[in-house]
Amino acid sequence: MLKELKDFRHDAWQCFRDSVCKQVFTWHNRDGMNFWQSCPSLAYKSFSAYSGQGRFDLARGFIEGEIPWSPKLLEILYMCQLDGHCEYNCGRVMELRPACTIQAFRAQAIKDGQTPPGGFKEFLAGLREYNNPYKKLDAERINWMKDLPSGKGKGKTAEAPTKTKTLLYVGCGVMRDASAQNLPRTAFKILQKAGVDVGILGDAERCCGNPALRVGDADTFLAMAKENIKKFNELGVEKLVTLCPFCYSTFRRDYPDVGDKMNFQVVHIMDYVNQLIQEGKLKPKKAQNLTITYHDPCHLGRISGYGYVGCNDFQGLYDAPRAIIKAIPGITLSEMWRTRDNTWCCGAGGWMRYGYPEFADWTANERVKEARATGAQGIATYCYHCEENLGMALERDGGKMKMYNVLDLLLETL
Amino acid sequence: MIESHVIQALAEIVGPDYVSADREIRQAHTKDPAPNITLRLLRKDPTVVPDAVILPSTTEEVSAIMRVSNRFGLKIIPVGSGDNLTGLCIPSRPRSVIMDLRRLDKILEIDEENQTARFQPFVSYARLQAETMKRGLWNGGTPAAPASNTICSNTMAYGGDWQTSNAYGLGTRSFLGMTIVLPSGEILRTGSHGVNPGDPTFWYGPGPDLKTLYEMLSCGALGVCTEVLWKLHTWSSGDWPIEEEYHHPPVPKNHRCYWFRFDDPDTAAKVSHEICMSGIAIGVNLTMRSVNSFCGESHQALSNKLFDEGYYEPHWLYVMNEGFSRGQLDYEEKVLFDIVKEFGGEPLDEERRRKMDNYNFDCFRSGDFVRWARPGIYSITGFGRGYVQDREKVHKFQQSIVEPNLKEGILSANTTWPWYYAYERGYYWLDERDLYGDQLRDAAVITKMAGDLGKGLVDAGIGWLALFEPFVHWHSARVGPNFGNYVRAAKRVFDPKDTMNPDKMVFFSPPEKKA
Amino acid sequence: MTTEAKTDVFEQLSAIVGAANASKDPAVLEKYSRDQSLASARKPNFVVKPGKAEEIQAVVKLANQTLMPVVPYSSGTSFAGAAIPAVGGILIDLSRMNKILEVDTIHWHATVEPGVTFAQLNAELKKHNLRVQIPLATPPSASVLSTYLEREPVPGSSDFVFGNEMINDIIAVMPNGESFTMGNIAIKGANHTHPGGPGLDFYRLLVAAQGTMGIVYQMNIRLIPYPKVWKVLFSPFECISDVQAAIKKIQRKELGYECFAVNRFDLAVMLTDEDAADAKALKAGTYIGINGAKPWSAAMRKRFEAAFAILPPWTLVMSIPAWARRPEEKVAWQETDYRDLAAESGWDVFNTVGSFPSLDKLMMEEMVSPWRIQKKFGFKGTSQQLMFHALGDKIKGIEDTLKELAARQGYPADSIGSYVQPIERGRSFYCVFDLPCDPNNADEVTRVKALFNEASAAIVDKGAFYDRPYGIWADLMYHRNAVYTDYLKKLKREFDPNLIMNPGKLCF
Repeated sequence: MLKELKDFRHDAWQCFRDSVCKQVFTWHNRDGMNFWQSCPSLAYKSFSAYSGQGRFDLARGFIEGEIPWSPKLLEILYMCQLDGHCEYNCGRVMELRPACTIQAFRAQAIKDGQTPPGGFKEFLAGLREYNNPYKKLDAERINWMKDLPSGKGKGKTAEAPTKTKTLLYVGCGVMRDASAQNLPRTAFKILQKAGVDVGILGDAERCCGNPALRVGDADTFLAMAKENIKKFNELGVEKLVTLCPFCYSTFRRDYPDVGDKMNFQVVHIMDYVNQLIQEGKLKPKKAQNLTITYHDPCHLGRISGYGYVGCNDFQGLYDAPRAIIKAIPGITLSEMWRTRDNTWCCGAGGWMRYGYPEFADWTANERVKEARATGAQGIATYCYHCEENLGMALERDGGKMKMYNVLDLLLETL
Repeated sequence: MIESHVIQALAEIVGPDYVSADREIRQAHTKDPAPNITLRLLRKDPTVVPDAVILPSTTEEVSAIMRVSNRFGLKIIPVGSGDNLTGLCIPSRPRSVIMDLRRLDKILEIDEENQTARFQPFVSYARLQAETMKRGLWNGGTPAAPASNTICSNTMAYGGDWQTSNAYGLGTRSFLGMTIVLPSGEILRTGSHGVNPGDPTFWYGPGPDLKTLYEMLSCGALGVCTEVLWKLHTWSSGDWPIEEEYHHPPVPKNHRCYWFRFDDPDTAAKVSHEICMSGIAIGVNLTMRSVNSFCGESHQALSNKLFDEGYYEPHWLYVMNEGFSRGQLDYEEKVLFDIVKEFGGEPLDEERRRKMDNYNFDCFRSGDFVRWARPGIYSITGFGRGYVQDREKVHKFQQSIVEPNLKEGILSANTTWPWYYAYERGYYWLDERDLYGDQLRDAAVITKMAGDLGKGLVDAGIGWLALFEPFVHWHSARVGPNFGNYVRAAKRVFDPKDTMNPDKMVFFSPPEKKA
Repeated sequence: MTTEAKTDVFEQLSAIVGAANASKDPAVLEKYSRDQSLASARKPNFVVKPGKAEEIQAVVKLANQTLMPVVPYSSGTSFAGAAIPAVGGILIDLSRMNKILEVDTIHWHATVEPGVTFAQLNAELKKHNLRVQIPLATPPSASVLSTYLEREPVPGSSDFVFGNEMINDIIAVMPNGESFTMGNIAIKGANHTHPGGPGLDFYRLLVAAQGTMGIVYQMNIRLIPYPKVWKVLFSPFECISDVQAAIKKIQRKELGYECFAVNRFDLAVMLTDEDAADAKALKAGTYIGINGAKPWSAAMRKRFEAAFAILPPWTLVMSIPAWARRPEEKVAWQETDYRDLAAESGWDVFNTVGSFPSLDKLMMEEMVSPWRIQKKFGFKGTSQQLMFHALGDKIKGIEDTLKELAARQGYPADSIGSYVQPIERGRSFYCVFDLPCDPNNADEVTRVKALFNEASAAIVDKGAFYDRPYGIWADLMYHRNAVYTDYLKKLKREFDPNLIMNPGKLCF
């Protein structure tokens, strides 16, 4: 079962104030001048209360009955992308879980009948009504397939992966707007080129539950998770290939906490495609002549695994996207300073675009400054949310850099 | 509570976004790992909660805040990274304002020619190391704490204790110049920086050195440091990125880490002394089983597993060498092995040494070392300065205090033992013996044990690094006879209204009586 | 104050230290009225020679009662007027307190009283294969305690750990007459390890204080080993900016121990054989300044000119000592690395300069006991010293300024002695310039003083910093840092409410 706030009482008291939740992990700190902060929330508001440490202190105060619910408390709890950097560092060093504590604290708020602050109020209402974060009908889940040149996917009904036992899980992100439809299209075309057959659920696909979990609606999340696990098991899915890093992280890291047996393996498209390249099924040929930098989505990396806490060897998906980029002839990868486990959130984590959009914008602007400093022509990443939020920041920046999707880059060379 | 017009006056200085009297914001400054703070919290002592938090961004803002504080009788507690272990960042009086220095966070200059860095108080070891190592320089060490600590406050509070202090000395000896906002709001600059701001030529004076009162353990009780000039040393290993190698990070290329095991601690102590007096090595550190387990492995759980399997032996010595040439590395290694062999020590074989790679990295850019703190409560008992040869006397005493508690399960075997660091070519050693326990369970018992143990240290001829809590409460009478009076005299001169961090360190003026 | 009152004070002083150790004899007072420099003379009213701390305390308490100034005095080798009473008063001559209280051969430290000289301490330490660090031009007769207390840089300063901070702890009589222990040993039962005690490094308020903050009567200092194998190498340089750049390169590689550069004049002085009659005084360290030195004989001046003619403008001295283990191997790798560095950077390394035989042996002796350099005082009778700290890249500009001003005063640049040594591994430098002068030639004294005053002020703008602000340097420094000066005065008033301790010095 999901842990509740009271289960983190010990963590809250044990906080050592060692500040590892506030900075890039010491060994990996490569730029002491500009790009050393790791917590967007703290960097944005400056008060320690907005850090992992401060929120531990708040949890302690709340649990011990010293601090009641208040608008300020809710603001502090929700002005956080839950990007998991604090948890990665603190878990490694102190075996504590600040991000999980914050998530449980939000769940406590909802359980106590508190209204989420900022835009999260409306976001949660929409989520409860539509069962997805975009207030869209499930029928819209298949819009992206309409003009696909050939192959399957024309149908509207659930299509069990009878032959391949592999299911491509598209995610709600595709319903956001027209631009989001590119992501599954490209993936689909690449899989076609590799001659790989996958099943798609079409309009029968349902939200993974990530938005509910992040906003604190634990009950809704549990219901969604249970339903999804049941469905995948019943369909006989052996391999669940996800596009959206949010879904990937939810399936990998949060579903095991639900407690229902999962008969399927969760794989991200980056890993899947990289494997196809390694196997020779995809052969990038056309040279691109481009210098790019790569942005690690938090959900694909540090918060998709258990990291150091619990000593799970899984450490986030960092090598596969880089391997794909390196496989494309003519592309030079110029890394930013905060990468991999120490990546700086694009700003859209924790559905921040819907809660505090100005904070999401600020966070993205900071990332763009870092990307600009690499001298690259564009930022490549692979995430509905990172692409959107960083793309908007690049526009605000005057369009000096372009936003790239790793698989788009690959497709052009095939 | 602080009146709203006072908060308004503060807001006019820093802007409304950077001062807060919200209970929720203040809550983030109510606890550190010291058992005495825990005890106060469990007793729900309201004084641990400050009345406001303020975030200045310039020396001038700090100065203006000091003037307002004087006018309205506020108590100012300056805070760097805030991970103090002895209550220095926790209020003890009403009308306390936390001055969080987070926004004074810039590295202003790195002067490669004259081996100096100029930066603001919120710059961490990790950041300065990242910038200087690229340039073939570094600050000379990293504490047995996370390098996310701010250099300025870490050094001002604890002297700057580094694992490489054998060669580079105590961190305080790196302060070349300081800009200090005095409690009056005046701005004091020291050394040649005082005569010509930014000039790092010389660190003391002119004449009697006032910086001495600030750089070492005044802990924000005499003023707020807003800028430092800091000495840099040569770093022979160049840029040193590690990104992928989590389990076995590489040692920097012109540095070496050696590990030796010994059957008994006395021999290890003799060897340590001999190494220092031979003029080799940048770091000579004698550790015990538990210290080695802190960060030996990349995962704490792996370290714990190895600990349970008896992998970490009771007495290990780790030595760090630096070589500007092959000749130096070879020579120092030969001398090192001569000494170890002579005394019957044994180097760890390659496979076992690889299990310490994580620690090897932490020797230079500490990240995981603070795992020693994972039990949650921490009491400094050591931080003593003495000779390594005196360790046995203290050890016997420690055993008598610790053993019963080990049996009771209050302390755990892998978190209780001392370590020793060589300082300044072995002229003296840091003897640190700490006690760790569970925040919610062990505060009282740890406090008592720590008091008993502290006395044993002094009886064995080992002094203290500092006179902060809990030493002040245990036995300030052991210092003197008039040491405290002169410290108070300094406090009277610089802070006559007791504005700065009252009740801390030796400035234990009695707390105001509650109405 | 009436004559009676003064007599009364003298009787009390005599009662404290014993009649034999108190004096108001004008001839005796005259001896204490000046030091080795050209600083103006002023007699104290009384001189006392206490034999123990309690006597110092009693004298200071009496001074507080009578509001008489107190001036501490140790060996009388000062060149900066620090121990000349500015307004008279009681001069406390500490030379009777000359015991070496402890030598710890395991942890390499010694505890000394103020009267202990470098010659005395080194003689004792030689037995244990240890030595004390001595500044490059300090005579063997100088007080170890006072030299360290006045923060005179030692040549091993190139190693930031060994060199900079050799004081472990001090005990002083404070201006109120109390004895105050500073350092780790302030904690009852603790060892001599470090000057922080506990917490604040209080001792630095008494360092470079010229006795204005208290009278230090006991000091524990760190010692260094006497080398088992020792190599000294020499490199000629044409100008000061090249030599400082070379020193920085050496220091960045952390090679060697002592490392410094001497100019042609200073090296020629060391290499000029003294007249036989002066040898004893030189080795004892009494051939110094206006009180000790005699002008050279014509023959000696000739020998000097011969040496001067064949020496390079600057000579870099590189000392590679080794002790303990595998000393030959240590010297070997250091020499190899050093020669590689020199070859790569383009300077020559020789076993001598100017073809002088055994120059290395001579220099080793000077580093342990610098007596030959004292001959410079005989060049004209005395010498006015200009010493300061400066960043390496500023030294050339400072030297140029000095030379330019000297030329304007008609002072021969060739007679300016000079040496520079790195501190903290070349991060900064300590520089000494000597202006030899005939104290009996009033016109020359006036001109040298004028040059000294003018140069002292001019080089501050070029980057010179007087960390020990003697005489006119005090104003040059303190006028540029009002807040520092103000708080120094406040602190002084707190410690010394009657302002009796060596008034008229620094900013007091």
